[in-house]
Amino acid sequence: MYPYRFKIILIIFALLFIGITVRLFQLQIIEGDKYKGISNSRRIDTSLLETTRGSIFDRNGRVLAMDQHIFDVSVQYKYLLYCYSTHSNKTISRITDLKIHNQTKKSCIECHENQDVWLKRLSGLLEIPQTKLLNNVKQVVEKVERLKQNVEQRAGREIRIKEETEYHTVISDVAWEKVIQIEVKQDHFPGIRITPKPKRVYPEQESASHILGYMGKLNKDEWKEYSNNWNNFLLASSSTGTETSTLLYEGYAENDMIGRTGVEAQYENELRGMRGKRFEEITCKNNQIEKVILERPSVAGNNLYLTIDSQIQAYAEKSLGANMGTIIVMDPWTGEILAMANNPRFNPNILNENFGELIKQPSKPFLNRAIQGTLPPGSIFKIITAIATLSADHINDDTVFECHGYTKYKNIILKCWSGTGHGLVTIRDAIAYSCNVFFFETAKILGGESLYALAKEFGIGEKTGIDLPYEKDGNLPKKVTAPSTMNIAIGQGNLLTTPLQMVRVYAAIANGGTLVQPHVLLKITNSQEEVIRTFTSENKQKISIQPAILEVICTSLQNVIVYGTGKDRGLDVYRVAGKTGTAETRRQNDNHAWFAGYAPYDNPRYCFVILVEHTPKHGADIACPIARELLSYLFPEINQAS
Amino acid sequence: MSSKVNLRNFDWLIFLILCTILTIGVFFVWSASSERFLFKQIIWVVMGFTLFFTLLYFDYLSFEHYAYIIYASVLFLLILLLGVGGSVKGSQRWFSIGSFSVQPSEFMKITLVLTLARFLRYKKYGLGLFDIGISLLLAFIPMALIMKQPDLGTALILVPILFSILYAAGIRLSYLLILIGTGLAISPLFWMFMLKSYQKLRIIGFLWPEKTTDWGAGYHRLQSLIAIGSGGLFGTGWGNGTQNQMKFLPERHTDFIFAVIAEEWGFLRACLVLLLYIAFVACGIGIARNTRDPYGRLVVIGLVTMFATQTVVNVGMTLGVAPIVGVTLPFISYGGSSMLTSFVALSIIFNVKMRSKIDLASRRLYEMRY
Repeated sequence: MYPYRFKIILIIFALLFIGITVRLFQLQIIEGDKYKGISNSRRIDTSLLETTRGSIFDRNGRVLAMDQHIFDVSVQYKYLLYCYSTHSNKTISRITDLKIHNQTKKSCIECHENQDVWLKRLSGLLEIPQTKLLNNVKQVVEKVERLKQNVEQRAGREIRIKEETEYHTVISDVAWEKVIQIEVKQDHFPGIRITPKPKRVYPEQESASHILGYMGKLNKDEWKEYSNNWNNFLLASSSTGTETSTLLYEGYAENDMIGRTGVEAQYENELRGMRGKRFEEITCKNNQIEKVILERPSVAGNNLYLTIDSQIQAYAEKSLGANMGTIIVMDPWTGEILAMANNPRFNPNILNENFGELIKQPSKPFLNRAIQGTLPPGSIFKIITAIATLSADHINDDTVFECHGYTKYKNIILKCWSGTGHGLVTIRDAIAYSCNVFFFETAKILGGESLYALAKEFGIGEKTGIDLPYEKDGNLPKKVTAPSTMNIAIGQGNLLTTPLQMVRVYAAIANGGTLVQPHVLLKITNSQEEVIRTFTSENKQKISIQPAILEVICTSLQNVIVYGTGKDRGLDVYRVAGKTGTAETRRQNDNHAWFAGYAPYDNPRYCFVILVEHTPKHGADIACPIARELLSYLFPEINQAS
Repeated sequence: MSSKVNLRNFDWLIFLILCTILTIGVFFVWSASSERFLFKQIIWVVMGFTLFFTLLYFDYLSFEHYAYIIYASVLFLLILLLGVGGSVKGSQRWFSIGSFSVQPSEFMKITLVLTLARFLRYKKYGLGLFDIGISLLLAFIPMALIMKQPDLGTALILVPILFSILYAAGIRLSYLLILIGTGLAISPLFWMFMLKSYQKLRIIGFLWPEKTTDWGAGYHRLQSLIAIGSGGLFGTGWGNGTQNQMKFLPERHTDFIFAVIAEEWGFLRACLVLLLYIAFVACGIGIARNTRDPYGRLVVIGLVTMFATQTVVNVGMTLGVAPIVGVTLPFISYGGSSMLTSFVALSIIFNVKMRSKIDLASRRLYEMRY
């Protein structure tokens, strides 16, 4: 080939190497002293700036969660150390060991007194007893000294650690008026710095606590995982337009607060802002900040608007009263959750005070019963059995079964809830009176498989995909014997559903057969209140029900209120279509009372489910009155008219 | 095939240079990081040597034979990576298989050399426009994929590899100049559509350090300059660099390890390190010249270019004369993928040298057999 070309390639590389050698010479020999000076006397250090987490609003813009600034009073370590050694009997060995110590002892005591002034003034201003303040000082000093000892032991020489030069918080959450006084009279408070710190506040207290969730500290193992997720999130969003210099922003630090449950966890990436960075030139002699070279401002997190109406939410919670259970109110057309009330609840504002106590309670206050409680649905499941049998053409709406109060399958006796029996019943009556025998008989004809298929189509036993973490899927038994199919036909047995799954079933009846995706997010806005994205539903499935069958179900559900199990409960004025249910547990007088439905039946606006757990009463007795109370709030105009 | 490995052709000079560089590297990884990295690095070196000697027993002509298949597979991996790769510091460069991670873009450097050499080995002087076009395509498809990860450093290394192989394969000088000219002309487009904002910031920070508003890049650069500058003529002594030991220098054991060497060893010994590298490159080019097989020559010149460019860019970046892109210093920077890739490349260079007395008649036999 062309030998001279190889030579030329070599020459090019040689020139490049000579070039970098010349540059090396320039840096190390010609300008060496300049850089040496910098490295010996000054350094550039970086520190992170706090950011604000996005706020959470309800659909009407009412604040549900926000960051508030609280103020910490921090003191430079030097002053803490003086204070500690003057006030405690223990003198720190490394001070007394110093050779010059004896000579300067006298003047030192004077200086300690001077340095101590801040303590008296601070305790006076903040109205905190000096002993308490001293106790905090003691904790900080002992911790830092222990750390220093460890470091020095390992290194085998004296080392100045970073903590010795920093400010340490001695009092947290100081009132704004006091902060101003300290800021104004800075000369009076030597070595004191006020640092603002964001604190998560939930103005509605306990309300909607399961939807909002709570915050917790990030531990070391999670730190890496979260940082990775965060970087991926930024990278993904930078390709869609809002470019950010991803690699330069630190995602998380250890001990950062993160959303642990609810929306706080689900939309952690959106809510979280980006920390700013400050570059400071620091003198090595005493690690004082010489000047701030550059400050990159932090970026606040995005705001969330939820589909929740906080007033409906509050009213739902009130209607539930002291009963353990849940109420869900949903828009049957869009899947927007308007309220999701749970009892018991927790107050996220005071969580760190009583977390340990709450988590041990047998009533499980952290359980979001609406999406995590899996229970047998009882009779409210019967409409699925009804649709399945009608669709399979096994019966029509004229078919009559006779109820004597029980029926037999081989040797097994299966009872209806009414001991005397309902007599001759059609499917309309069977739903209205919630007759078990009718559904036992249909289950015999129907068989397990088509019931399973339809229930699956309605989303029973599967997560609904609501945008809240830790949703449960329940249990839809697949291979079943005839008796257990009969049990499942009336919503008992091994069948377990979440209240959210059931509200979705009733929404599908209300809107003509579309299975909507329940969600709590309405839209996300950035800190300038510009809408970044709105919720878009991924899966809206149409369930195959013939209109004629749907009509039978709908009128039957109205009949429940007119003459069936739900009559005389005051629900008729609200034009409700619904179904009562009482799921029995193995224990006597311990039921789960259900009521599910929608209103008004001719043009459904709300769809709801009410569940009261572990009650001796029946669905009609306890869940219907709760529904009435809730509806009286949802339809104030009807209320006034009647 | 008569080209059995011939131990008399083992290049002891390069081997000695390599061992010296490796030793220096291990000591400075030790100085710049904890002992955990030292032991890991030693493990990587041992694995590298194992790979090196193993690969020597495979005739490099089989690399030639499978070049296109290897190219297609690595390309496939790169495409796959955009979909499923694990992410470290916000970029998708790695496949994680258990605790082990693989970086396909590193393999692409070698793969591109093998492929371009295969394509251009028998071309006539001047190279037709078709040949040039295909070569550009072969280089730019993986480049675009690697940029997307984003891994600017590795992507940019592919450009000199392309040019040096084209040049050695006999491209007309006028064509080459036109290519370079066109490249410069379309670089604004490249700037607008291919670069992520932080990459732009780094380049701005490099060209106009005083104008940059973002200190991520400027901070690295400044700390590196302080470290190198304070090294002076004799250095602060191994393990005594203040910038290094006090952790002001970012990425000390990987991308910025040369700054540690310069700080602790000073100008004289840093020059020695550079000298070792240029000697290494010179020996490599010597091997290319003395090889009769046209494929072997192009492969060696491509791999040598890879080493030389990586060294120049890495050192230049610590010296503040090249933009800060993630490029490792071969055989010195800490890291498995980089170490193993370097060893594979070196093994191929040795392979060519040890089979350089190949007679062309038997080569034809070899080709007929396939």
